[in-house]
Amino acid sequence: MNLLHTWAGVILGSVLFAMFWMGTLSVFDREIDRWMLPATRLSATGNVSLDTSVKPAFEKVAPNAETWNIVLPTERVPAYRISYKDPATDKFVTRYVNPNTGELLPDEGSYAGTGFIFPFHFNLHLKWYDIGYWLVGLAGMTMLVLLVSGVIIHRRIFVDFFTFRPQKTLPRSSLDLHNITGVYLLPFHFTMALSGLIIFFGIYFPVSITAPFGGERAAFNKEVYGQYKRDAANKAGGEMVSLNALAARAVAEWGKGKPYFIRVWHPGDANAYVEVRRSYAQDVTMNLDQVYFDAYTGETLYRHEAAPVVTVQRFISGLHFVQFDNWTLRFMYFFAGLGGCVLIATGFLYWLESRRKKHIREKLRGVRVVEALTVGSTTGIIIATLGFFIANRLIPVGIATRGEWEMLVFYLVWLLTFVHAFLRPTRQTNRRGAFIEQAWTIAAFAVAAVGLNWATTGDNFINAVATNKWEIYGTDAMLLGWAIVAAWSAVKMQRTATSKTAEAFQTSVIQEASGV
Amino acid sequence: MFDILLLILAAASGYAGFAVLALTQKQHLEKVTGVRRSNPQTLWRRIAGSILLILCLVVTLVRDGAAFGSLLAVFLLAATGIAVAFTLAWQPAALRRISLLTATGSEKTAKKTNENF
Repeated sequence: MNLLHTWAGVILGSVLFAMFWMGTLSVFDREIDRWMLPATRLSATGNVSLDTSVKPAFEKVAPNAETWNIVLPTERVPAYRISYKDPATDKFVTRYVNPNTGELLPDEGSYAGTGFIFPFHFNLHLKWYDIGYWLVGLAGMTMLVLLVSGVIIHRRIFVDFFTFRPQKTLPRSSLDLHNITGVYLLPFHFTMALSGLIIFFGIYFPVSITAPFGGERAAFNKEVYGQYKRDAANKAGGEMVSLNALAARAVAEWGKGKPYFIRVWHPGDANAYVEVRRSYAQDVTMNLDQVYFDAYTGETLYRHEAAPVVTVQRFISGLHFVQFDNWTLRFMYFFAGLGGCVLIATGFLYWLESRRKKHIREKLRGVRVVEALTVGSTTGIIIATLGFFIANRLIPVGIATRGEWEMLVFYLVWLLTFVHAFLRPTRQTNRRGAFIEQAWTIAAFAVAAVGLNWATTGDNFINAVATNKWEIYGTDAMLLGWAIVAAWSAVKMQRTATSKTAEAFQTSVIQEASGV
Repeated sequence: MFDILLLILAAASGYAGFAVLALTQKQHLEKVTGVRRSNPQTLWRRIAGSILLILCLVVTLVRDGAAFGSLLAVFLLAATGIAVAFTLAWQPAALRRISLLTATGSEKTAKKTNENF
């Protein structure tokens, strides 16, 4: 078990850290969106009618799209989020409509939190043969193995339940911290890993679709997710029923809740119909309540509620997705996610520090390689994320493929951090040099991101509160928090390194003086 | 406002519960009280600690209902447990009051005797 725990952690720890880091940031993906898409930093949620704002916006930008998708404004996203597949490019386009004025907001081109950070944590943006999903699935399964094997090999689990000894050696204190974050956050880590696998059961356990539905994806989608389909008639329709009226009809049909998502299928076509989905902001379970209406007569075509087994799956998904409106829990998820990052990083640290002397003495390369991987995949991904934020503030709006440029900066910076970690000479007396330098880089980049946000948008850490832009205050506070923690860690590691160097110098002087 | 008070109460009971449970272990009790060979009074403290942890769960259920409340309890218990471990590492004396509150007569006498010497 010890061997399994050690090597599973060392081999897949980097992927796990990337997933945990991006997953943790995804808890506040909408807030990161506001930071990266300044046009959507709106102060109030107005009541402009869907028919006089969103519908004209679609008629202007996507009259021939197959569907018009509308996410209604919420406290976290104070604008209509509209999306469609552009028939010319076959790509999904997302835009925002001001709910106070009905005006279509400028396209800022960034993938931001919901378009880059959130998908990264479950597919790593590796789409070739779904390799990203499979890699993440393997890492999720490995996480479960690591948790179970970790409990088994932690023989003093109850004796050391409250034990943390920061004053002891680095291997000892990092193991203590690894144990503490692992034991106390065990329910969280287990739930996240398991629910991640359950959410993508269609990919990881395809037999659930192929066996009962004979591989018919459409039949599966209708039975499980309630997806109703009606083909286009390919002839023009008349005047559509009011979308606001259909939303109100759906609420009356459910008898509770409110809609959060509306989709117009085949807009303009004689067979057009409207899908309305119920919000799950007030519940853990992500309900599948939906009603389909004929777009011209308003007749109810189909109504769906999830079956009990699917409801269980949606409850587990809800535990993972954190889509509910509960700020206390949202912050708890965020800090627990950071706890997961600490768990993985301290696991790496323990492996490194408990083997360093032996590997250097025996001229083995293991520590060197794992240290570079650790640095690149922990501090490196944090620097890359900050690079992504900085690129967002520096690349001008209006540049074609702005979002792709931001992503390119992320990957380039991340690659550079690995190169730096591999090239940085490691000496026994001045170890963790790469860690120290990358920690200072995190501090500098985080402060730069906050400064650039101020310079380019006028919103800063202080006036964001006065203007009620809590999402900007929160994101800036988070960035400054990273800067403080990174600078503190760098100073602490530098002091340790200096004292070790002094110690080594003293020892060599004594040895020379005594003629050893 | 009432929500915040309930959250503070839940967090305080979780912290106190774990602190009392930590004091059932000799090495932590000695660190907190500064008295060697203290009697951890395991049974009594385990009962008191468990009651406080259950109180944390009850308060979160009252505050947020079954679904959100039980989730909040899981997070709060993790956070307060880690906070107790950190307190024992950096400021063990901060738990002295809890140790005195949950001490029975013999431990208080031992503490006083130790102070007199």
